[in-house]
Amino acid sequence: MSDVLLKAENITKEFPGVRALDDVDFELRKGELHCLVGENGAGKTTFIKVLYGAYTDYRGEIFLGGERVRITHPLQAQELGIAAIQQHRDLVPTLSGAENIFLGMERKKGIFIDEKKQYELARKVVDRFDKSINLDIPVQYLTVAEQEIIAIAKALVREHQILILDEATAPLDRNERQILFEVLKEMKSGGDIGIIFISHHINELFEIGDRVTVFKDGKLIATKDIDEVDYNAVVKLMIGEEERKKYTKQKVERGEELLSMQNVTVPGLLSDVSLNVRRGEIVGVAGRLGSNKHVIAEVIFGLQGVAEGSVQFNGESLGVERPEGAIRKGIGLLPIDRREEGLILCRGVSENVILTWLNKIQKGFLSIRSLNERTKSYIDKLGIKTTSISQRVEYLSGGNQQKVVMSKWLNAESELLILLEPTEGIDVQTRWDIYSILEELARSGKGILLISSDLDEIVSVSDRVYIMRDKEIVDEVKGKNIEYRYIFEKSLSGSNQTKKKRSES
Amino acid sequence: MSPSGILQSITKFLRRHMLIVVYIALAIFMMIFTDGFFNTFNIGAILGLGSIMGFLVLGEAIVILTGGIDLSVGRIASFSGVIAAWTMLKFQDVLPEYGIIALVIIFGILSGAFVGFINGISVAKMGIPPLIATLGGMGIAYGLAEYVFAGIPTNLEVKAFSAAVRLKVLNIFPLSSVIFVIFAIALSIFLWKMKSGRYVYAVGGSLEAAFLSGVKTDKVLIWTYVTSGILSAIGGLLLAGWMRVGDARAGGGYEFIAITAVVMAGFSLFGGVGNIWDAVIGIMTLQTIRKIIPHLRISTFFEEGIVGGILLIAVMISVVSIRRMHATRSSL
Repeated sequence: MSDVLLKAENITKEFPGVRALDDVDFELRKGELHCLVGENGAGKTTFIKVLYGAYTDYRGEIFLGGERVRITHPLQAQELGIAAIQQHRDLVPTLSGAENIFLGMERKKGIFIDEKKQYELARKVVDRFDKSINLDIPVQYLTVAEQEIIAIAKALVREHQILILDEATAPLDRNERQILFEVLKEMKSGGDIGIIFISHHINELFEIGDRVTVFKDGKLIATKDIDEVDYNAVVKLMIGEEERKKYTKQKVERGEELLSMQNVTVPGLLSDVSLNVRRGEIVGVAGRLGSNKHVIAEVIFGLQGVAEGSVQFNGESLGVERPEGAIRKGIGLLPIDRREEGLILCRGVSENVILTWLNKIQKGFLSIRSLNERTKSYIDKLGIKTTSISQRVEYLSGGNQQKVVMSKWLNAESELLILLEPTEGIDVQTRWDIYSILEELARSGKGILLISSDLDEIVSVSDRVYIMRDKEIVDEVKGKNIEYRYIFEKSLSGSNQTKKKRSES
Repeated sequence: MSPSGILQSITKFLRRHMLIVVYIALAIFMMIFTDGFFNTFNIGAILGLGSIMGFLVLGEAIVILTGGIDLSVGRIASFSGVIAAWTMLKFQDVLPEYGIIALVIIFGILSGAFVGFINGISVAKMGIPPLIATLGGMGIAYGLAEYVFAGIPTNLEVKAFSAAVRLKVLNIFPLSSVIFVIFAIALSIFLWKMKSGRYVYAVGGSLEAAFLSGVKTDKVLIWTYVTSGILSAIGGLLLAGWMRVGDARAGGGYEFIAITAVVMAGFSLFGGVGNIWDAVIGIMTLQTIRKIIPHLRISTFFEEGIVGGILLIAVMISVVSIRRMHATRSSL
């Protein structure tokens, strides 16, 4: 089979507590554009990371042009002809566009860099997308879309055989997107290059894809020719048909209003967002990457200024405050990156748990005994698995780390708890532990704002769900109307077709 | 061009070349309020010592471009000066003068390269933060320099060497300043026109992106520290020649002046941003200020304090401008 460019067999990759990739077989042919789709955390990003050498400890085998290779380093992947574009992460912000494009493979005249030639070549590639991009100034002064184009141009001049685009179209506008598609079509028409394309815009698959592979829960569900499937079929594969194992929630009495956002606009980030949370309520915010749902948390927690609209907490208006003000008023935040933002990794469990509480202590000296007792009570209550209260949190599993972050906010006596992707990368059992803790908190009169890309989670624990798309809240559902499929389609950006179908039926 | 357009380009020019403006203002001030500060003697002294320290500044500048910092430049300078005195003493009866001078240059440069190499390996291969790694290099250079003559300043036996360093071209410019300009030109061509030079900027701008683009970042870092060591060593040789003595304590505190000059010149302490010629103007401005201090009858004991104040102000300006840049970026 000479037309197979890349073949991956039985690829498995495990993280502590989670199997991110489970026995994946994949094949990329010459001259094809192969789309990968799947929910967040379905494993597609982990899979391409294996392909471009980001991990050294995966299992399974990769064949390139029939030859067995073990890719353990990004540089090695590049030498093998595999290029990955991960938005603008691979640009040097202080170098110009032309310099970035030729970084590591400079054109030279004698011993000097041939800047003129480099500029001309770079210009030629970039002009295919946009003639107005300035290639002389540091790329940090360009817009995100322009940086993206530079990153794509960089991969193009390298003439790699396998090109991986991970969410490459996300920052591009319609026009730029079309141009990128033209370029990709032209590239694959040569018949030597294979392209792996990841996108959340399912419509895009039908525009440029040849085959599509669906990932779900770390498994490769199916690979289909694009002619065999339609929009609905792809969505069906992504969601899965089997009965979902659900966490079932108890009904809780709703109390008075705790938080209300009125017509909040943050230029470029949020437009006209209104929502509220009552005591005893778990409110979900669903939305895909790029819907900017996390900005809501930043606004409430005082990390992001508001241009228009107001935020009220407990009847009091929240101005632009720093986290310390928000915490004093009774707001707690479980950040997305719990390792970097939620915890002080190199310190022990008890030190992390009491961190938010120290501000409240009036006495000059700390009573270590009472602090330890407090910590112990949370370890028991939340079931944190740790060898001791002074165990460094970096040695705990992801789920237990998250529980430590939760204790931190319980200790601060927060009334409103904002959770950002609380169970990402956490095993099922601990996940359910966390849900039941949330439920108990709601029952005790606290308000919970759950901002998550995990729809299963949103559907099973929320009393009410706001659906976000492109910086806006597009819908609100509650009670029985909280339905997986509906929220899924509502949060897709290119969902015009489905909307039509809905109104027909 | 409209009047506002002209105003705009003037402010743009001023912002870009603030140091030159500061320098001219300083010169005018001195010309009005003191009689005869800018005589050929003072100019010669400023250029002489300024260019010697300029070598340390060049070394410091390239390290800061990679996002690091080099605390060892001053002690490397004194180490190579001591090595010069030692070489002259050892070989004075064995070799002719020009042979000794050649050896002095070779040994001096090797001593700087040696300490620079230790710095580079510690930073690139062992992952030690540059501040600590070069603090170690600084200690090593100091220790070795003290060891050679048990800490006693030793005269340079080959008088021709000092005479050459102090030689004035066209009766104004000390030879050291001419050599310095040649090196600065060479370094700026290297940084702008050559692959490895651009890699210095790339590594400082984003180590990860440079690495993923196929740049051998370890090698770039090691060579940068070695080059910094060599440049500092050359500065040290000239310093010893200028003072006619090899003194283990001669370069103490010069790292402080070099860092101040580089930051004053608008280099980002995060790396990736900075122009060598600004650093050259930076050290000359700083050297002029240091020379002015006694002339204004301010106690020289304040000198370090004034330089420290300049360093803090320069860092503040650079931090504020970085913050402003991020603000404009995120509002896009």
